[in-house]
Amino acid sequence: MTATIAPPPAPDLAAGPATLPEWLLLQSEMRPKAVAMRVKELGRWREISWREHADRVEAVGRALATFGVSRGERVLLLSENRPEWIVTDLAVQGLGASTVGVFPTTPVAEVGLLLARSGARVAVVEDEEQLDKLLELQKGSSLERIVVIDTRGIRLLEDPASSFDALESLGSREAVELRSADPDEWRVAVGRLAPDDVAAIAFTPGTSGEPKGALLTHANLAAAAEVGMTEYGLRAGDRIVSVLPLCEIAERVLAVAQATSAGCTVHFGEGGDALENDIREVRPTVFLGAPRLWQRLRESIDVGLRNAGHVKRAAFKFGTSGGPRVLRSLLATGPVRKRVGLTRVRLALAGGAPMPTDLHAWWAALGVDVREIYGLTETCGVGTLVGADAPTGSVGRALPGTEIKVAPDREILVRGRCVFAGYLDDPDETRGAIDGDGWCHTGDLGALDDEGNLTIVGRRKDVIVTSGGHTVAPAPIERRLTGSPFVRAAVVVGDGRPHVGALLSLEGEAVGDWAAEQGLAFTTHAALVARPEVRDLVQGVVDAVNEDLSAEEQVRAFALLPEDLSEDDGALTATLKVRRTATAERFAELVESMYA
Amino acid sequence: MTFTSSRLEHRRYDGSLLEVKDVTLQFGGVTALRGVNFTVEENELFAVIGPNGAGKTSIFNCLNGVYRPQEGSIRFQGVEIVGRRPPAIAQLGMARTFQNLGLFVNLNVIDNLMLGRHVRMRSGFLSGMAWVGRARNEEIANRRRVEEIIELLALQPFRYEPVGSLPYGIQKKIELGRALAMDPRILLLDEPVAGMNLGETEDMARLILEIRHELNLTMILVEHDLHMVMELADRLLVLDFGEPIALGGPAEVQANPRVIAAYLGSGET
Repeated sequence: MTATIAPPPAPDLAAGPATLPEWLLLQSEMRPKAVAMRVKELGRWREISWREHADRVEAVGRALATFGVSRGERVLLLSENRPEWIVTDLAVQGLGASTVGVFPTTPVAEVGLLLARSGARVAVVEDEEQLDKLLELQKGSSLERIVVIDTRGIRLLEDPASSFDALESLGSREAVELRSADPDEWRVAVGRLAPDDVAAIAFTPGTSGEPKGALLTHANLAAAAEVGMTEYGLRAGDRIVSVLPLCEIAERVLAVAQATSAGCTVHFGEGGDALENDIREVRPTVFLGAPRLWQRLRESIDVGLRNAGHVKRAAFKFGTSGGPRVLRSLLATGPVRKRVGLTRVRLALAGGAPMPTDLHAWWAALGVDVREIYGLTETCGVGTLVGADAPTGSVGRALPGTEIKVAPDREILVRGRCVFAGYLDDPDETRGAIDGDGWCHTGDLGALDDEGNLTIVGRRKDVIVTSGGHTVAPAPIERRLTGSPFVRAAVVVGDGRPHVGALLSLEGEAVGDWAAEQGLAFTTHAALVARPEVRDLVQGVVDAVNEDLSAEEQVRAFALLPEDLSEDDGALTATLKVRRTATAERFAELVESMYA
Repeated sequence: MTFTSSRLEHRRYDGSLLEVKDVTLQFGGVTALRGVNFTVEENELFAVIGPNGAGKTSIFNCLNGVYRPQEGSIRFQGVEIVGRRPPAIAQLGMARTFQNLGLFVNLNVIDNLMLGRHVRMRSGFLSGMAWVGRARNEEIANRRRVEEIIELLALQPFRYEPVGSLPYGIQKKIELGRALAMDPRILLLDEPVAGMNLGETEDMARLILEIRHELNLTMILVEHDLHMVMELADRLLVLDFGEPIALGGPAEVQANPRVIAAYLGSGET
């Protein structure tokens, strides 16, 4: 921000603001007392109005400016979802700087890598645990300041660390007036943001290879925000529960971009095991979950049903099998949806990973139409949305403002305002990702039908060529396998092998319940997996999947993993996607045994 | 959010927070404790260990007034507590958990924790019934404190569940929470990981460290799980058949030949 200031240009309301900080100012002006966010603290939901939210953003922005954060700078943000995440993000954007969101679960070495790549001088961290990571990395790095949101457990907060509260009071209106600076400075600065400036750097999870920093501009975010209003029909008062990590593009687009522009209320609950409680209390109208989460909610209903009496179970069976809608909803679907808090949900979205087809059908029987979205970090989460007429298994048609085509080599290409500006300091990768005509090369393989519905076949790098020369895309097979309630994760292998095989990780709880019903004794997950009866059970699942597959695609061998895949051993990405190569490498012996 | 406890004003005292001197406890002709001496300093994590029947729990029972030792003195914040009744000692700021849980299984988590707040309540029966004035404000403050504890122990998913229906590991946490709800100056933990599996044990150990770190609490731990004690405790007292055989830091105690003999049997056998 400079000292010489021209009068602010009048905002062009008809066109809508071009940046999120501008949208926030508009909300705070038009609906100052409406609720922007609710956060559950000490068992109670605390409300934050748009005015309050905007004031906090302004204060934090001004304070960060005194730390030297300005246009083109980057600020590291390491926190779980919470109001301060969004406050920090919008404040940084308002300064013309960009936010680098880092998953709180990221190990310290990788945080160091992201810090070095971004050259951030300021970091905002959630708590002591994250602070410790940065204090360890600070020496010899670009980092000058660390702001801690939750200071509990920290004895002494000394340079370079300070508290978020202190940051807010440093930038508060009173403090600014004391320093006799211009109180309208913020508004003016926000009005002058350049749409093509970078607003966020999102390091892509990197299912294969090292993480790359995708540069997202204000215009990208504004394009994504527009989708919320035009396509999703989001409106003021819609209730959203923030569940997926805000570092993930789909969640960031919904809870920050679309919620800020449409004026929805974002809820931050207690999360973890209390998530079901949060959803029940909020009764969201819009709900975005990864397929894993939809599966988890389904399981909680299943468990409830198993413990319910005959009458309830019969009613549920009747209710989900067809018949008059009113009767069904009265008897079964209504009460069940109430149990998970999804009575009011108007828009149910699944993103982040492919949705197993029968999971979709299961929810549809309950009257919850889970619509899959397809988008990459590189396209700011925007791509396609499943419409009412989309064929099963497809991810729907291109969203307005977005063009989609499939190249001759079957790679999916996306073009539009949502396409990112390139990778941070990596012109080679950027040239590979965006071609001269502005098409973003997604690296995903797909097919388009005559209606324009897109079906994802797999990642280009992941295609398996068997020793017989047959090309097999593993993703659709994995998707079918994980459609079984007993299979948590599947990794299909077979590159250079005579036939396709699969590594399967079982859903411990579901298989455990099944085993208990069968009267099978077991102690640990590994012991359970080793039971021949369990192997027979899984063989049944595999056989059923094979029925729909061509001869080359059929899974002829499988092995059961003795443990859960986890983030720590590199088998899962931070967003819990399975890393195919890492998993196959880690369990190389099992793979060999399949082909022995 | 900070911990806004309605902590009692701390007493001023000279010497150590807890001073146990020459305590001897007998039941008829059986001597449960003989000549036990130790002190516990502010913010220390002190452990009492020993084989089965060594008198570990007897020490706790003497400290919180359930047993009255025949000889010796126990001074807590400078006040002699031998001869005082358990409620009076609790009021002074000593809280404990039990080896085999002392929860109200039919009450939910909140109610169990609110019961822990009982010693901190001042308002009378009548104002409580009328729900006015002090009773109302107190209830709100206490409920808030209980929520802070729920957050600290990550008990959010279970607030309204009857305690009896919850897994054992969770019940152990609730038991700990109820003791914390008393805002104690010193917390006595009687075998906090007894009967827990490895995962639950690690979880509890982490929690104990966190509580110590966040609440600045002094703790005395009685434990069977030697490994855990060596990791956590600042100093230990080792008992064998009611007699203290070693006192010191973990490394020192581990190397003590009498301790090795008591735990592993003497080298001659």
